[in-house]
Amino acid sequence: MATSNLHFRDSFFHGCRALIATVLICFCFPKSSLQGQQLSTGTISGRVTLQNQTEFPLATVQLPDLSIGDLTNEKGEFKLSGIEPGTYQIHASYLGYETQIQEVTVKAQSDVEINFLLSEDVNQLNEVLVTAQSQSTELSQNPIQIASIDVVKLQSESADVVSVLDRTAGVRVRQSGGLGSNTSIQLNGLSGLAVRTYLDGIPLELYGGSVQLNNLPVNAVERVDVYKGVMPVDVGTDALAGGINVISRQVDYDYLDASYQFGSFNTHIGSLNASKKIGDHIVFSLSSFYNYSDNNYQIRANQRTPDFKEIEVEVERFHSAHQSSMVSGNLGLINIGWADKFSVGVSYNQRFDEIQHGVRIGNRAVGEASLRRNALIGNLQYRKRLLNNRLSIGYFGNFSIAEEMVRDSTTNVYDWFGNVFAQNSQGMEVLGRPSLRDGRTESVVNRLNISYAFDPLHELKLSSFLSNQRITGSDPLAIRIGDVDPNTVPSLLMRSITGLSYESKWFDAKLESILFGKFYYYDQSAADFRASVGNQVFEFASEGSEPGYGLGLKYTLKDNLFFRVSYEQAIRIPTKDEVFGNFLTIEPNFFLRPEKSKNLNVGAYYKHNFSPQQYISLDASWFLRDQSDLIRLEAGRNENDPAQFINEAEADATGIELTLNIAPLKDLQFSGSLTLQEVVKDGIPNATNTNGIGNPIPNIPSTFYNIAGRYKFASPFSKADEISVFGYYTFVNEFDLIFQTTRNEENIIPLQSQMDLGLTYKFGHSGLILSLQTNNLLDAEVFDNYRVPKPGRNFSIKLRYLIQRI
Amino acid sequence: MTCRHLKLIQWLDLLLQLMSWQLHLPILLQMLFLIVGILGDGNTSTETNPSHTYAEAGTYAVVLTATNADLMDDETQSVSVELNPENVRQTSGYVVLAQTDDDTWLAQYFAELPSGTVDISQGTAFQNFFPLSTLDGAIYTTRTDGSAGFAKIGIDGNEAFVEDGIISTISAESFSMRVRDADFGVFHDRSDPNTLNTFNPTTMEVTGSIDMTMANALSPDPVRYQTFIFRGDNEIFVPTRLEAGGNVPNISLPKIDIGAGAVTDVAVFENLGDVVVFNRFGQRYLDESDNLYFFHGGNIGVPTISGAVVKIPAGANDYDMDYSFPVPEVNNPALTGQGTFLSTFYYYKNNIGYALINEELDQRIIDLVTERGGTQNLTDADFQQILFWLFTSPTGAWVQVDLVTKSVTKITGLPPLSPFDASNMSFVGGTPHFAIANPSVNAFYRLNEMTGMAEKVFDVTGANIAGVFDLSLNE
Repeated sequence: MATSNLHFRDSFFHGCRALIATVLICFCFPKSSLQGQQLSTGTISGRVTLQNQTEFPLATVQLPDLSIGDLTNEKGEFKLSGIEPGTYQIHASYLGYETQIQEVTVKAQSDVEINFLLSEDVNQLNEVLVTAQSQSTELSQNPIQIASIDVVKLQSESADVVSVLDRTAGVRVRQSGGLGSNTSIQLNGLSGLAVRTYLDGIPLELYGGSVQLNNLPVNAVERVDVYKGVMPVDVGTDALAGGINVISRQVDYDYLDASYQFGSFNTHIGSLNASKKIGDHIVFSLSSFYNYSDNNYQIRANQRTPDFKEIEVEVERFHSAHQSSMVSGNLGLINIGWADKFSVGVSYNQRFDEIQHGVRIGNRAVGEASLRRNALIGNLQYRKRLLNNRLSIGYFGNFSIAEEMVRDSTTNVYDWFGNVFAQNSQGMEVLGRPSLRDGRTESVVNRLNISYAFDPLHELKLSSFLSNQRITGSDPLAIRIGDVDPNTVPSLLMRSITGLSYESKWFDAKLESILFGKFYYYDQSAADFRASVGNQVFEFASEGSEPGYGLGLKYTLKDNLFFRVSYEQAIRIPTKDEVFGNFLTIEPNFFLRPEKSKNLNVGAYYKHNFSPQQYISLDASWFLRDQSDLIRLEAGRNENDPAQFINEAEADATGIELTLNIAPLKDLQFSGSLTLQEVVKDGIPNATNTNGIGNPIPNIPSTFYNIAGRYKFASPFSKADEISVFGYYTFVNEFDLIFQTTRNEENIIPLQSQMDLGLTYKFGHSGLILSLQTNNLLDAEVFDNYRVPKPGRNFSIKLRYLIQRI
Repeated sequence: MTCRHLKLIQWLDLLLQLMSWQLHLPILLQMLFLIVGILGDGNTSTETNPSHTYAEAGTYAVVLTATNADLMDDETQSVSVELNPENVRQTSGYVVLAQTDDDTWLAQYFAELPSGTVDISQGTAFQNFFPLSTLDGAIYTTRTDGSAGFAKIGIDGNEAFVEDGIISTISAESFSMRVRDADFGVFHDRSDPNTLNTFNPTTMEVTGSIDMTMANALSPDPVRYQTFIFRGDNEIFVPTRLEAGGNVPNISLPKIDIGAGAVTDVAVFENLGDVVVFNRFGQRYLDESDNLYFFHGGNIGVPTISGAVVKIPAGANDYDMDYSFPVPEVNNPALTGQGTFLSTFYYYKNNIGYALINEELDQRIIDLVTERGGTQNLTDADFQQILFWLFTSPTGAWVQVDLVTKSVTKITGLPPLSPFDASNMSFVGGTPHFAIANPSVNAFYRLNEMTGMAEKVFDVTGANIAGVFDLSLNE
């Protein structure tokens, strides 16, 4: 996980701060005055914890009345001794967090224990990014290009992880509809599975399919790391353009965080996260969510009429409900002899989706087809630092049993008003042929990270990722080979990725470097479950290996100006869905090869402070990619040939991304990001391969930007209350669905612009936060893949209640 | 003369001029407004601003006649009248169609058959463009925006492609439609194997249905209909295949009696377990005497079955069991029993047709079958491998066949082809042409019937040529 590899950098920066702070404290608060008073004095001790942070900060604790203070140690503990009896105000502070003041009464020869939980100061947060290096910021400045989104500060909004990502520079999230619909992330001009998504460093698809980016509530998330370009060995597996790593919330103090959100289209999103610490070493945590939405927003569609014509109708979606839930319990042991952290967890998740249409909005609706999934997952985590914290060992293991049930077997044909108006003897609504397939996938995933720091400036990391999947199923409607349902013959999929990296700092840490190599190995045997002829079910087997490598450099010219460059040869091994198809519309391709890409990323960051809370910053980056064996979905050519993932020879991509942050006033912030990119087909021209070479690869937007603004002020009703208003504007220029040089309107996804506005009301320190949000305020027509409409203007109300206690 | 006098003269002059205007005004008004125009097609108008719609473009004489009580005069001018190009539909010319690897279809209209190199990327892009028939300049195709059903596409005066009507189907996989004439066409909505529909190709209105129950009963599993072969005004033969893939046995060919509105006969070739193949576009199955030449493709799994042309004699409803023309075997008798394939066949004229066959059998296929100890031991993966070889090895050829003498002549001048090459024939100007796209060639060829040799007409760049459609032909 990202947290462990940052340990030494944390230590380094903390070390610097500690030194400065110690000098200051020694200078300001001469200890001589405290000598010789031990017998008649008392002691104050305790711990300072940061909200939502697992690491303990080097925070400052002060008694201003006596002009004494201390820094907390690596366990967050502090101790102030030699204090004369009396009642004092004690201050705990940490940059980027609100200073907390408590009252304490000290008695002679006694020890008073007092603990602090510091909550994040949203106003100060951007300041923190530079001076104190919060984990998010530090990641953003990593030589291997990262944007890190601190989700915690967005948790009072009713945003989901997808909309948070969609506002990030260079990231475009495309969603085929409302809550629960399919999402595809576009990053550095790549999309689909080329951009991998991880939850705590494990590819999301290995969680069983129910947990997806767009049903994961922000309250369950600590932060989202976006890796543009290359991924560190201990986070990434195989990705071409980078990936998204969602870090779930893990804390070891008591808290209860409940939220409920209600919105348009009968949308209910509830989440309950809680943690209880028992004694010093045991933490029990619970994480759960429940999502439901009818997704019954209005769309325009062409309805087929009985005379074989079509009329345009505006209808409410009627078979589009999404329901998903997850409950996960975790028992953790912390700071015990043999482990810094050891946890076992069990998680169950499920989802049910009604399907309203196929990849396009057709001339009739889908009224019965559905997809149900559930998964039971067990996981085990272990983390230990040894040899005076030089050696760090981390293990994450995950076992899951996932089931998916496809239901598409009706002969009824529905119109867009939800009525049956005809019969289709083909017996299905969405798929190539009817299916009642019950599938089962058993997965075992292991991830082992070992790192060794020679000194605070040089660290070696080894990471090994191994996953094994076994896929079986049954479908009463499948064609039998002999008497055998080919779905029942198991398929096996194994992949192993081993990475070694060397991270170091040079020239007074002005130059940071990361050099890494990876080795990819895959081995699979797959039953041809779609076979329709023959006497036996044939099994395809393939195995192979590929090397990968990369180098990243970051040079800090000044505190507020740095440059970074990275190069990688990246490999991506085809996933289960690409090799096996989706058991429905997509045929398997057992001969699919891994795709490869050579990526170059160059970036620069500059920040100018006008005052501690007024600044302007600019992050610019450029990327170039040379890709081969690109995996893409090819539609069937003739008749009803099913689609299949294939290897496309060559593609080149280049683009720039700019992010601007401006804080003209203390409580007013604006940010904007712009992406311009071009992805073109490459290859060796021959008579027929002239097609497309040098032409843009279709269906990828090339220009998009977004602008965000936020203003915070004290409530006119109560000074303790805070009001934040925020707005987001997203623009995507029109783009072509297919390659074309002559404009044909029917192949164009029109220009899209969407504005969201919201307001958050924080009720003092009660832990209660209310937010109101309206999305797509101007009720603009916004689209997704194949011009599937997204919801128009919609509203939501979110109530969040947070109790935290040390 | 004093200045004062000068001024007076000027005033007088002005007065005279004004008087003169007043005198002439009635005449001028009459000249202007009493117009008797003889417009070039015999129409006249006395309106002050006459307008007229001409039925056809061309050069017309417009006569302006002015009269008053005493005088009459006329003047003739010739005007060139052009039609609103958006309302024009081309009835001749050529559409070159190509497809990119990214599944974009590109179509471009040419008034004259092009030469040199056509950069088809400058054409109009479509998500789908699958011509099935042409009639009076319109192309009948599956719908171009990916929706379910069929469209009638015309080319207007700006050479732009215009959708002139649709038929919306329930199944998005419906691809079978053929046009017989301006009043009659047939299509299949794959949602219902028991019904075909008839339509008016001019208006694109659905006019009726045909009961296909008898054809659907050929197999316990539902079937689908591949194409429609029109014989005379009352008969349609319908190549049939299983809905889920696979063959209806005995290359069964149901026949519709249009008057009865149903299938009345089924031609079968007893005990022939072969694959029914059919042409994707148009007709070209009937000779001048209405003998119907149909064809089957050959079977990898049963190499003793050769791809062959078979015949339903004029007036008959059944195959002529004595007529089988195994074209690849005749072409190369050494292939007999090893695997012979006939993937496309078109009837031309005077008992001549054209077929794409395998000239040789790839040695790798022979070796693999030998290694397995016979075709009965081939696995699915072996079949896939063999198919791959058949699609890629240059062992195929277009041949000219004489259906009476059963002789085969290879067409020279074409690039090497695989037996399953995606190349297609077009009968541009009524004569045989070949559209060939493979890694070494992307071009359109004309057959020189005198020499039997193909000559390149034009090269294509930008996408793989799929065909050329002559809008003056009804197919």
